[in-house]
Amino acid sequence: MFHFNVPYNSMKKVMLSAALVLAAFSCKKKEEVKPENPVNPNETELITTLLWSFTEGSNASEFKFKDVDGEGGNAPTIDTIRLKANTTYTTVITLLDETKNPADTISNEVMEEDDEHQFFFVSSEIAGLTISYESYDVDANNVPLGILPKVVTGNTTGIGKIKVTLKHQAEDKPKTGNGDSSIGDTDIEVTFPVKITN
Amino acid sequence: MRIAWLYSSLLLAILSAFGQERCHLHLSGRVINAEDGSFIQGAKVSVGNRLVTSDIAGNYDFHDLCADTLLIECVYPGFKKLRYTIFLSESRLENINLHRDTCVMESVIVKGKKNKIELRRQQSISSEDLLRSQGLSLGEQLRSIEGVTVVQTGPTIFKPVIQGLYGQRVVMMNNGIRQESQQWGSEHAPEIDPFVFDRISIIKGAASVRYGADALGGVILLDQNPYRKKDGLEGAIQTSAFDNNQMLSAAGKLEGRYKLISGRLQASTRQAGDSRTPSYVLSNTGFQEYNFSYGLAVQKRKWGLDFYYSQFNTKVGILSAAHIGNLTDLNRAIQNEKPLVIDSWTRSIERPYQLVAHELLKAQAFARVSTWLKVSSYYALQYNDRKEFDKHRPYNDELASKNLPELDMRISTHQAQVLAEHNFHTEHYGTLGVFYAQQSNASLGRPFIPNFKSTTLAVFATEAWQHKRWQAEIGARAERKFIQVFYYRRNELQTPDHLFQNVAIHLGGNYELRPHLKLYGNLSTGFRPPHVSELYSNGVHHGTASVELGDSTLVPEKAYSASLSLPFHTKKIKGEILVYQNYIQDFIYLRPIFPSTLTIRGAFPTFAYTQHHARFTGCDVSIQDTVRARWVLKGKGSVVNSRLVPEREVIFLSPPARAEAELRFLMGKKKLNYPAYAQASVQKTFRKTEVSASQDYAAAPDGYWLLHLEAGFTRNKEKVSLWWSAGINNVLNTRYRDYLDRFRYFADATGRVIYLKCRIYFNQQSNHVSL
Repeated sequence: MFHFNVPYNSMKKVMLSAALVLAAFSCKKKEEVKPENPVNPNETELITTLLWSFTEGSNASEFKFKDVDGEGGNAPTIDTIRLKANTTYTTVITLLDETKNPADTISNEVMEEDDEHQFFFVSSEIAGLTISYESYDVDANNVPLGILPKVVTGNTTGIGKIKVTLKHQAEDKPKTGNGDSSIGDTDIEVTFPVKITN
Repeated sequence: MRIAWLYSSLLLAILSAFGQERCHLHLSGRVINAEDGSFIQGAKVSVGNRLVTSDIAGNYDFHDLCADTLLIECVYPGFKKLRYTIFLSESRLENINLHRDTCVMESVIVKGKKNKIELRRQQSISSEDLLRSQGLSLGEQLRSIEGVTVVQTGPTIFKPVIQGLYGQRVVMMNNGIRQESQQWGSEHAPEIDPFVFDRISIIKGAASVRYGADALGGVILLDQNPYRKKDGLEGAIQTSAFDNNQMLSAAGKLEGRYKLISGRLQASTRQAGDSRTPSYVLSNTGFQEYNFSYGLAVQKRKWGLDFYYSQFNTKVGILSAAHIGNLTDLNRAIQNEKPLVIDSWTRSIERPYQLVAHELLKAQAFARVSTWLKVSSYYALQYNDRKEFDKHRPYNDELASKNLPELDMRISTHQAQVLAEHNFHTEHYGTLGVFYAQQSNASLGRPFIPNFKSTTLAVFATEAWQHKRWQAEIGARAERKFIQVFYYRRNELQTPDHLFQNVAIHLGGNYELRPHLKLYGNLSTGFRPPHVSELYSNGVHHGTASVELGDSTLVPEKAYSASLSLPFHTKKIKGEILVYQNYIQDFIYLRPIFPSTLTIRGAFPTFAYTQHHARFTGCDVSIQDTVRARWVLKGKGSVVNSRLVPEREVIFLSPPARAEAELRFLMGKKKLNYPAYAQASVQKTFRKTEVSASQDYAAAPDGYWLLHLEAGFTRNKEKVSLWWSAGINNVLNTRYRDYLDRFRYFADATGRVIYLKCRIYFNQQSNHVSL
């Protein structure tokens, strides 16, 4: 095969010396990159997992939306959230990058930037299931962040859905009120099936 | 079938219009070197008080002569002046044989391209249009050629489309070197500074033999004028200002020659803030561009060396509202009449933006080995660094503080070619060439297309003949491309490779029906190996909020292209009509697949690269009529029908039909060749019909009309020439969206633009084009 191995770096040197006269214009220092050593996607930031922990009294349970290989590749695994009727749960949402070892807890960053983000929740296909913001789960302007939502089930049993959305709103996040889901870009959008039993 | 019938009747109508006998007589022929039978270019031929210069093939001609006894005079340096009379009773051919003047010392300037036969029709942006469009990007400038449209990403990123094909299938020859960058992306504009070039021309249809197997759609040739022929210094300064986005451009060029050594230094910049539609600001659409180039050459009669370097740097803002999180965001953005983010006007560029640098270095040499053989060779090196910054930085503070680009792709390309050109006899011309290229692509940041290394080896040959009114050419190219790809899948390094090889063939010719009426015909084949992006893309394309999936089993596209072209001109009217058909076997395109890809960010519509046969049929027409002494009317139009066959589905992003008319009034003294003008033009873009709904997020936008006005003047003094123009584009501030603009989902196109442009040229040598 007619394939020479010209080192990438030596080429750059030729380039730069050619432009020596006008070096002032020339590009900044270029990092060395070799085609043979591609970046492992597992070394870039990837939100792989949404972990939703539910607590009611002394009972705790966890549900996951997990997609370790990111967009494309294998399909994500989605747990069914199993809840009891007529119950109030305090919950915690954790976002993880499980491609790292140890896993990187991205939700910490979301909490740090609480004035730029907000979680929104929509329940459907089942009556009496409500998700609301706790008064302590807010940013500096008292606008909800929604990482610690309260989940209340009603009388109805059966199967439904909860859609969780995390919006990145940056400086556009409202400074008063309860937030606005129509602003910003979607960082997370996950729909969990819910099963409510007696 | 109906279309074919329409074309042929149109052709017939034009042919018969020319066939009609007028009461004017033609006198035409060739100026021939009586010693060796070669044709002489640049000889002055006069009849009465009229004077013409013979063209590249020695042709001269006169129209509208009356039946009379005429005195013919012909002069050319180094040859004996010839004078004789003829009696003209009907139109006739009259060849003029010149004999060498032995008293005169060898003073003939040998022209490098003497006797080169024009076989492929090339269409150029006239030097005047090039000047008038200064300050615009290359893609926008090319739009002045009929049959060329652009795929756009907002008001600043333009990619030329020739006969419905773009991207990898249109090859750009930057100073004779194939431009190599990340051409696969529809939002990756060519990294070329248009201020560098004096001539921009295109070849429509497959031109694989000479320019590379993948040139299935056409070739864009960007060239500088030859260096000065005499010792001295010359230069030019150009500036322009546009009100809409407060764009300013400035460019300067300095050129000199001392004995055998010639040099050229050039630099340009363009700077703009946000563009504006008639009713709102397109936030974050500013750009900043800094470019420079220099060249140095040693030229002797028998040999020459040429060195060239250019650098292109740009930072282009991307409309904030067009950077999309997922399908939900996209639908919301489309449903909203205005972009979701509108800030007040600014010059500053925030995330998301692209930061691109391109360097080209070329060393070239030629030697005239003997009277019939010339050998030339070049080596070129290109380095392209494309960084794309997403709207948001990563969550991780440590990563975010580095402010790294999310996509960072570096591609370097080495190219070398050796070409032998022979000229055994003036009526027989041929080339034999070997081309080698090596490319390596590496990326940092989010993997979008994998790293790869590739090598290309090609051998090509062409032979051309001229016989009476016929010119014909045959050519072939064998090309072999090897690609090795490197990427991770499930934490393991994969290194698949691919080998593609094939042969492309070209048959072309033209026949002179009558003076100034030639019929060109072309039959070409070409093949394009799939690009790594088509083989291995796997991920979200944030601009379009879609997942693109490559297919590593794709095979090369094979093109069969046929065209007929009829350029014509009479005293008052000139124009060209071109009909073509390009059949591409295994055409590679993105097909939507269902269901959408589910990710933690929500659902993304998913497209996979697939192959299917496709056919591109179309017609480009241009006509220019000097209605009255000071009035010039120009018209042009193009239509292309691109479909998958046999299903007949219309191909996504194929250009809608377009037509344009321009009326110009010339002012000033006739003696000075009318130094001033004022003009109005209207442009109609039709609605793209029959597009399939499953390919697109939103229906094709309505057609639209645009009105433009412009006035300008030139003033030539002995040492300095000055050119000014001022105009208004989209005078009526029409609100519209263009089908080929990807931002049509989010925002209207640019509104009214008022501009002022000027150029000062000093010490201009006469062989350079001027208005």
